[in-house]
Amino acid sequence: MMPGQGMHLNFYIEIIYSIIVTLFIFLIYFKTRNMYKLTEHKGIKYFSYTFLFFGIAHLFRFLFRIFFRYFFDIPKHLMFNRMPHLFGGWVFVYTSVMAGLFLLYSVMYKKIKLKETTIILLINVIAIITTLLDMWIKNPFVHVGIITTIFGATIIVSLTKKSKKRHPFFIAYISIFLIWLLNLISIEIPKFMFELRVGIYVMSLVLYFVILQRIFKKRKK
Amino acid sequence: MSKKRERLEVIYDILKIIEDKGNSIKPTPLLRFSNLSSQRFSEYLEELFSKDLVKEIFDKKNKKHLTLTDKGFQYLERYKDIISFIDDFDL
Repeated sequence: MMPGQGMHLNFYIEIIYSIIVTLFIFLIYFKTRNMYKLTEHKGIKYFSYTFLFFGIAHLFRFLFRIFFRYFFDIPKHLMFNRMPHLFGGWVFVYTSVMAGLFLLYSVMYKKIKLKETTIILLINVIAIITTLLDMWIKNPFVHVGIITTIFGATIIVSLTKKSKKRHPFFIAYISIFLIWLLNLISIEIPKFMFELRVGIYVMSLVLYFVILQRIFKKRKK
Repeated sequence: MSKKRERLEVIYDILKIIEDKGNSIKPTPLLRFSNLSSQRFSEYLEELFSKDLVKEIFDKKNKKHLTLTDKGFQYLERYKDIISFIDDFDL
């Protein structure tokens, strides 16, 4: 479908959402990356990687699953008709698993005694296996299940930490998980009700904005 | 309190001493004010140099002084924000 030919509201909403959410996520990444450069705190480093991969996931989703589909009218009978869509999907699975695993590692890196290179290799292997499983089984719930497990583990690890108080931003982990999960379901299941999808988009933007605001917030000296 | 927090705090304390002393202090009084063993102090000082947080300058008598770099000032300015971020996100 070419732009302007039967172009509907859905397309514009997808474009606006993709641009804003990618911008928010990359802002979080660059801001936390600057914090890491200053302190070399490993927790901040892995946290920033989470948003780097979230950002790439959204970017690829936008480029291959929305942009190419609408702007390049590939005839349906051609074999590679669905290639951009599929490729975008695989990159999305890989990067979202990477993001989830880096978030998990950011809360438990102190307990893991393995070398950083080993951990990064392990994270990549898990992400690649998940992508291959997704390609092979072709059931979106494989991806959803693995992401649920990773985020569930992150929440449990965070809960078992001996923090003196439970910080309100602990809620952020649960929120990131829920929003990401809902996003996944809405992407993986194409017939997901559009009105509900828009609701998820709005919630995603609010959540990322709250995290962004927290990162930009300055304490009173 | 985690070891990481201690490390960031020690770095903050050392940089703060330098700033409070007019952004120029000799290594020996800095060691004394920092309340660290000489071995730990040397390790931290090495880290501060490698991270470009402090630099050496020499006075007219060719005596060595330590002074903050721009990055060092930036660290002091943002330290509290970063620590509260680490706490908030349980990192």
